[in-house]
Amino acid sequence: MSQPILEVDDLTIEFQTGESSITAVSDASFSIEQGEYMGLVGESGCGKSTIAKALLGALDKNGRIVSGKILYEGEEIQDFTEEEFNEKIRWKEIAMIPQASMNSLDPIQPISRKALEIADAHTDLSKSEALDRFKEAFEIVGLQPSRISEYSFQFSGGMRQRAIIALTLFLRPTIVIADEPTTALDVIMQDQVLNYIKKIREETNSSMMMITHDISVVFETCDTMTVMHSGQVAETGPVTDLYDSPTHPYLMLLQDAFPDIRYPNRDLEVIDGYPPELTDKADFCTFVDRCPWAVDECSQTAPRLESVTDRSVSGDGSDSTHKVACIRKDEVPQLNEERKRQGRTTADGGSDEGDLP
Amino acid sequence: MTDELLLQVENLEKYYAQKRSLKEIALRKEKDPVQAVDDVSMEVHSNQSIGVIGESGCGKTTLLEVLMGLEPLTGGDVIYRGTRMSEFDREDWLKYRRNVQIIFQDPFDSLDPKQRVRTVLYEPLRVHGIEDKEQRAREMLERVNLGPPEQFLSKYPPQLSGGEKQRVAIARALILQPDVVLADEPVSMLDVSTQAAVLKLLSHLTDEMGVSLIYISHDLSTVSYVCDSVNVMYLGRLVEGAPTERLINEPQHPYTQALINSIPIPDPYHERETIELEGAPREPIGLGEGCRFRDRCPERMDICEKTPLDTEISEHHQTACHLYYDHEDESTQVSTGGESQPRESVPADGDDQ
Ligand SMILES: Nc1ncnc2c1ncn2[C@@H]1O[C@H](COP(=O)(O)OP(=O)(O)OP(=O)(O)O)[C@@H](O)[C@H]1O
Ligand SMILES: Nc1ncnc2c1ncn2[C@@H]1O[C@H](COP(=O)(O)OP(=O)(O)O)[C@@H](O)[C@H]1O
Ligand code: SF4
Ligand code: SF4
Ligand SMILES: [Mg+2]
Ligand SMILES: [Mg+2]
Repeated sequence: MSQPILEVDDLTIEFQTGESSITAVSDASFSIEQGEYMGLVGESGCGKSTIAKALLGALDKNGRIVSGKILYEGEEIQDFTEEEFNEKIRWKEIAMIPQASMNSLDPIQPISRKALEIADAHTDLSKSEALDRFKEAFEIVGLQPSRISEYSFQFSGGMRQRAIIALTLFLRPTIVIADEPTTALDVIMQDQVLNYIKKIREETNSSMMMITHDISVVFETCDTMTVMHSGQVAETGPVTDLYDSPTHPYLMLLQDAFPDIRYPNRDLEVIDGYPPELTDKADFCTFVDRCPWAVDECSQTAPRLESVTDRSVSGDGSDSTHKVACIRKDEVPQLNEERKRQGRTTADGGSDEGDLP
Repeated sequence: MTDELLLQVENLEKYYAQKRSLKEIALRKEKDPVQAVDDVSMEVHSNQSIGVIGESGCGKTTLLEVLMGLEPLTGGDVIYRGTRMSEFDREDWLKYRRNVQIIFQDPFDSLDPKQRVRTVLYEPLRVHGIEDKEQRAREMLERVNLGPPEQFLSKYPPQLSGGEKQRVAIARALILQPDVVLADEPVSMLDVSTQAAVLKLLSHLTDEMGVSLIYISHDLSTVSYVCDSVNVMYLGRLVEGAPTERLINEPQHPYTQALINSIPIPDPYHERETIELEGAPREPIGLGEGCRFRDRCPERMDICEKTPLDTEISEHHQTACHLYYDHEDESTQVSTGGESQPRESVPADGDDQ
């Protein structure tokens, strides 16, 4: 395999809040290949948006990269200046659909003007080519192409979100970062947007980092996924590997917590407790308070990402791209099986589940 | 358990007048109203949980607002235990407000940040003159798994997580032991792990306390965990209704099929056949005669210019689509537009597994 287009290596990011500081991302590592779609998954506050902003040099003012590297096409960009990010990275190489972006459009200019500005600054498309592409993008996100010259206040919230998605995608950048691109949309709108996202991939070679808490969206559109819990990367690898053999306790529970329309009577898993607030780089597993299999050692050292071994597939697993950060990674799948078996026997005798009579 | 008919929604209509400009007022120019809810009929019996699904803007929230009495209805009626809402007196309203409660979509918006949980829970008890507030509030907090109660009673909403806030909202809705709870996207703002806990709680508590539920959402996958039957809404109208599993496995209306096919499946091996629905619903203004889905429907026929009637395709399963009825005597069937039969909602078929 060639060099990844993007590599994040032991990245730690901190925010200064008054006297104290919050560590939002703690030694996180993952990579994205050319043309690959990666889903970044985890619950609210685990650090997903922070990573996305760091990739564009757009951390909030009180935030900074404490340690680690970000490599874009092999070049370290974590220390780039504002000018360098503008010149070399933003829009053209990495473009982002920001989270809750509905209100980020300038109300006093037509949306098409914004598109032309971006196209002008970063490509040599003619005005009509740029507008045609923008219209096409409008159409597929469910907006009438004839409306590209309207102002954002003429659009409802959902329509604004779609206009922004069109804006980010129409120049077909090398990496698109989409931060919760469909969370504010209803299922039909989401489906249309996902279809567009799939279409882009058929026609270009761009990669995508799709941030979401919805694993079904990732399973459907992505090749690989990275699961985070409270600043740490818990597990990363091809989606099919993570689906077939989830190895981190958090991912295991998450999969069973997720509603699946095919099984409306299945019992949903509940993940009790809350992630800790980190004031420093975590030197423990951040899942320790919530993990059913935690042992003392889990709170004494931060588990490293290591290849998942011990799987039916060929080789010794050491070169596997499926990696997990859990000191009990070799025992956990077995423990989970046992837990499920026990759960089932107690459930027969009347669980707390209020399912159908 | 006895089966009581609690709520009858009868050809309910809610039209909003469109704002007119000064010029339009001066010229006495009328504007067509916004047809947010149009000719909706359904029944809620005791111990039922009914879902209403449909995409953004189809009228779900408006429906709940009218059912709550927050917005006056403009046509049809709501009948609560035999009394018509259009004829409610003060006392009827008081009784109704006590027995029909609501849980809103956004737990961050629906609780006053300056009111302690104690105040939030005491308020409905005070309004309805109920003693032993402390006792009831504690019990309710325990039921929604916010323990120990004393710790939560003195907290303010900003000190609670999203899931905890939504539990408080559920506690507030259930504390008067109402007949019916209305829930508007109760978990859409919550994280997956919290979402599962709230869904389980809602499903469990409505069963345990014998409360009926109307649950509205655009997402059938969460609705299906809680509801025995589901109605599908499109541009102000109900287009299909069936027991949950039947609706999922045998959707009949082309819109329902599209809606179900648009739900992503958490399984990378699953190949979802997407029926790509183009565009968005029209504005609910000047809709006129005809099937409201016809501009997006892959099955559309000439007859679809006429409004399709509700048809019972099998027991407890009805849909309003020309594909499903006999057009022999269509002249009599189609012209009646506004007189669909109330949807009978049914308890679940039992456990199919
Ligand atoms: N106060 C109002 N005045 C005029 N039109 C309104 C008003 N409230 C709602 N509408 C319109 O009525 C229709 C139904 O809106 P409603 O809020 O009930 O939709 P919804 O199904 O709850 O949508 P969502 O899923 O986005 O919450 C929409 O076209 C909306 O713009
Ligand atoms: N500007 C900021 N100042 C202080 N804390 C912040 C700031 N931005 C984010 N955080 C904190 O960093 C953590 C990660 O946030 P974020 O990356 O937004 O999470 P996610 O996108 O995964 O929901 C959270 O604890 C959040 O409160
Ligand atoms: S390292 Fe320990 S606490 Fe963390 S996930 Fe593994 S077993 Fe659980
Ligand atoms: S009535 Fe006609 S347009 Fe409407 S859903 Fe049925 S087939 Fe489609
Ligand atoms: Mg975020
Ligand atoms: Mg609504």
